Amino acid sequence: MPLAIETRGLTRKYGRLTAVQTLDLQVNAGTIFGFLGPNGSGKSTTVKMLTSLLKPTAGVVLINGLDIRTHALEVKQMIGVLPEDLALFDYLSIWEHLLMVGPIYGLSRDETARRAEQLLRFLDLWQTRHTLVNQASYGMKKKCSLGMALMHNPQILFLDEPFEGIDPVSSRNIKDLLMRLSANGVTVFLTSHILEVVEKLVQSFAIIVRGEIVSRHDVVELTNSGVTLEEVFFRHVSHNSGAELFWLE
Amino acid sequence: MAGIVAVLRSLWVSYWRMVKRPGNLTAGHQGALFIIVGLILFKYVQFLRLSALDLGRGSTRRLEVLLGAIFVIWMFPLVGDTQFGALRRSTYLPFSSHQLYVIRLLSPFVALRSWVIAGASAGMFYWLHYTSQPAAALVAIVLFVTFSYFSGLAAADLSATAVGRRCLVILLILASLGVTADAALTGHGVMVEMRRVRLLLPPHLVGRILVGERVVGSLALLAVFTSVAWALSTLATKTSLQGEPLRGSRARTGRGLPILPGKFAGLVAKDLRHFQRLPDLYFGLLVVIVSALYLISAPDPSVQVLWPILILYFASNVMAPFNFFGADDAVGFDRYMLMPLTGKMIILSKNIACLLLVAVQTVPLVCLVVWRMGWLMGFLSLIEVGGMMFCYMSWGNWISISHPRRIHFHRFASEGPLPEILLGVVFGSLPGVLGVAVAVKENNSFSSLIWQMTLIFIASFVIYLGSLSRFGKAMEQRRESIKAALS
Repeated sequence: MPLAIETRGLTRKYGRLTAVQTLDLQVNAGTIFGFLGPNGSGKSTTVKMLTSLLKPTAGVVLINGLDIRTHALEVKQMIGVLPEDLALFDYLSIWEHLLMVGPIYGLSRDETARRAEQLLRFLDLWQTRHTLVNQASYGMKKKCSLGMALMHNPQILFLDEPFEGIDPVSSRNIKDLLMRLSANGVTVFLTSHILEVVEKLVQSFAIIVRGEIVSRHDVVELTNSGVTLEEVFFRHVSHNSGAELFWLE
Repeated sequence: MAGIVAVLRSLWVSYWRMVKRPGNLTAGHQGALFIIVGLILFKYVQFLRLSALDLGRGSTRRLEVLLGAIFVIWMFPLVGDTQFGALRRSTYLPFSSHQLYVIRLLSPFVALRSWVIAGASAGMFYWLHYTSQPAAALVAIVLFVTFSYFSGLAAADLSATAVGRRCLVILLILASLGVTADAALTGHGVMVEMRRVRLLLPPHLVGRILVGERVVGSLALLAVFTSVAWALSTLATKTSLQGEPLRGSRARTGRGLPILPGKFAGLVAKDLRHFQRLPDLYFGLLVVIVSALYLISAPDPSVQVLWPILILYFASNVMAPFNFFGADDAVGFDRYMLMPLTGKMIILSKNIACLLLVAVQTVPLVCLVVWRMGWLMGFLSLIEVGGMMFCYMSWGNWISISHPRRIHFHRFASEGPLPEILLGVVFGSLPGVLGVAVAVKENNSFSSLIWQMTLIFIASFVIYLGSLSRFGKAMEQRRESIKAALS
């Protein structure tokens, strides 16, 4: 199976802090890949490097075989991104955001309007499409950003926490859509803290802790071995019982 | 009290952390900035001394100008105060509206510039040596500074809400209409009417007190003005902290994006909407209105008067081209980076938006020039505007990526790397100044005037194309530092 996403020795440092350390990652085309880890483990930094929002300190990123440093425009044309901070403009409405991106990806005005309407209806944003982003709820903003990521029918989707802050109905719709997209050959790279959702959705996943991948698994193999994703996760990520917070009791 | 101190302390820490963030005292040419501020203060002290000498002769004109400047200068730290946003987000804390007002009142003093202006205001006590009524003068100066501060606070907090902004505009229109109507009814000219209004303004009242004329009446009037400004500021702060400031904006602008053609249409329209929310740019509009009034009313309008006004227009509009990414903030900047656009394309979209903004304001002027002075002068005025536009954008393309800084909507954004901005104004005005020079040159025929002006325009355009290419590439290389500056 061809690789949609490949990294070799991907590293990002902020001064003395190493956020991501020599990351080697391969994601097959047409699959849904989960990238898991606790807060501050380097998930979003990795997504930013994969989507050219952040320059790696070292290492290579290949998207559909293209080096992101030398083919940035071609890569951006073929990917859709739901970034961590959503990357929206406060003083544009949800509708205007979708109309803005269509022509940039080469869509005609009519086609842009048609797709925007269908996406907003699907994401349950049609009634509130004229709301300015700075007045929209977090969930509405996230769905708007997701709509923008889907607008040009990308070959690869990078979704940073797509289900956080989303209502259950929309969450279910998005899950179904991602599975349909994957079945049609679209590669989905997602990060999430909702382990149950990830387990049902992804074909394979990796866990990153303090900038390094500590575990990677195929979900089918994991299920066959009788271990859950949650068990694997907590094997690598310690948790605090909160015993010192006795004053809250 | 402890809560108020805690909030102010956190604002203080946050401000100074932001100031120290570059980690280098030479960053942003701070040395040059200190020299410029020092020079301005030096000139201020000189002016202070001259106005004090005038006092001895019973003249208060220079003193009133200085007081007017102090009043306007106080607006900047208040209307440009970005700490207010943080304060608004803190209203969930257990503070009464009175306590929130106290925090609001003191929060501008977190910034260094407020202390500089306060120091400059304190310099007015120098006049006490030259007045026959030192006690009354002391009270008058204190009242005037307090009045200026409360007025700035009221304007800042009113401009933070959609309703408040409308009130300010309505107030301004009513005041203008009042002066014009009174001038028409009494048969006086507008200028005479303005002089009559001046007699009631606080700077004139302070002047009268300092020369010992109608001291009690002037002091009483000044006290009334200060009380009204205080009442207005408490009301404005309360409204803006408790209200939903953006409700009006939604109804007005959520559907109003202009329909523009082309790939960047959405980006250009977005920038135009951002520009509408920057109060600095309304100074440019003011210059346009003055120019239009001149063109309509002057018996024999001439380009020798109009073109220098156009130079002033561009100088007052620098915030648009000199900080293209400021209004996008770091989050919006990410969207640019995600889209399949080169740095050159992104800068071009910004330039088109800026060009449209200037076109909307200056094309009506050019039409007036055509009406009053003929097609040829209209064409030359267009060339004059175009030349300056391209030079301003050339400089702006550089400064926008080398010194980006966050702009907060409905707040003055007139801060930044002062030496670079001043040099940019000189550079951008160059085609305009050259245009004026060739226009006033004696024995210059029309054909040579057209030639010279066209040459200036072409040179500006070539410089612009070079800047677009050079700084488009530079933007891609510096994207992370731009984002960091905007966050």
